[in-house]
Amino acid sequence: MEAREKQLLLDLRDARTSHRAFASLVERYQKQVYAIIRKMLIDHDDTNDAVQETFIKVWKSLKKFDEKSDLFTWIYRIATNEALQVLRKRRTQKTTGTDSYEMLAGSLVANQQLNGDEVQMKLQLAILKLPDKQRLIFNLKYYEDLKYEQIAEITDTSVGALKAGYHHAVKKIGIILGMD
Amino acid sequence: MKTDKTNKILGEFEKKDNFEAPEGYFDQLPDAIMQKIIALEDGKNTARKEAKIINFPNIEWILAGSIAAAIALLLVFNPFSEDAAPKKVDYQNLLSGVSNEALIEYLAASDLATTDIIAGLESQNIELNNMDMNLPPMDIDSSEVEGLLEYYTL
Repeated sequence: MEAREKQLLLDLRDARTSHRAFASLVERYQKQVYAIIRKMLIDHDDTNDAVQETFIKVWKSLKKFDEKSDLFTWIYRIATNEALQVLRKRRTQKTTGTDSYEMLAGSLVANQQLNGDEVQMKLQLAILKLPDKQRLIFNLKYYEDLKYEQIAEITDTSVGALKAGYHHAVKKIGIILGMD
Repeated sequence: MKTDKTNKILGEFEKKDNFEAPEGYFDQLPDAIMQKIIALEDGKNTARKEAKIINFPNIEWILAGSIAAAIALLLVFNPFSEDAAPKKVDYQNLLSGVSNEALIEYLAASDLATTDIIAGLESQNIELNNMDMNLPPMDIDSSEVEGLLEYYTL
């Protein structure tokens, strides 16, 4: 763990400095947390709710953080769990008859959530066809450029399974896009 | 091989984050989160103030107190001691402490029939002839005595 991260943790655990230190933690990690949740939930408002909920959970769980992993990995784990939980809830509460893909793809296309060209839109629509967990692994590896060891800690999955999962995800995307 | 194939597929696309947050979003996000956290803490503190907090002593003290109380109860009301077992009443001893006059007066005043008294004495294995009964003289004739003896099958 970096010296800067250690100091941040000390400040977080001191009642006199905890609020200031937490605001600094949010500033440091907000963009990464937003990016990973946004790719999972697509809609900005849903993402905003999940990001805020993530940081509130981080605040509440700070005492439980055992420093076995990096602070960043731990926060990512909470964020990805939050995103997956939102998707799970949607599935169990859905009354419209649309599945997860239709809902996310509909949001992506209708609200012009994507700031990219047609090729990027095709790629995103193909990624959305992956199962949630596989999509998460793909996003963490491809977009966030994390190491398999870090993804293994975040998703509680073995490195071997992650490698196979990522390869299958890319293959599926290729098939969906007619490239395989 | 796998990596080559993966690179071939994904190499077709420019790798960039296409999702952008609204302008100014990250400037206000830390404040929005801190406000929620402060509100949460204030809510907690208010709830703490409103609720009547009863501080229980440590569990070790509760356990120690319970064990001490149980031992004290055992010492006072020891159910295993011989004293605690129900005693068999020795009626003969009890009766020997009562004068014959007091006994006769009690029996005469009570509603007990003579048959009940005799039955009671028999059930306690008390022999009438062993008792020093200083009964007042009875004014009955021999035929009545025989009748009584026959009635009580003596």
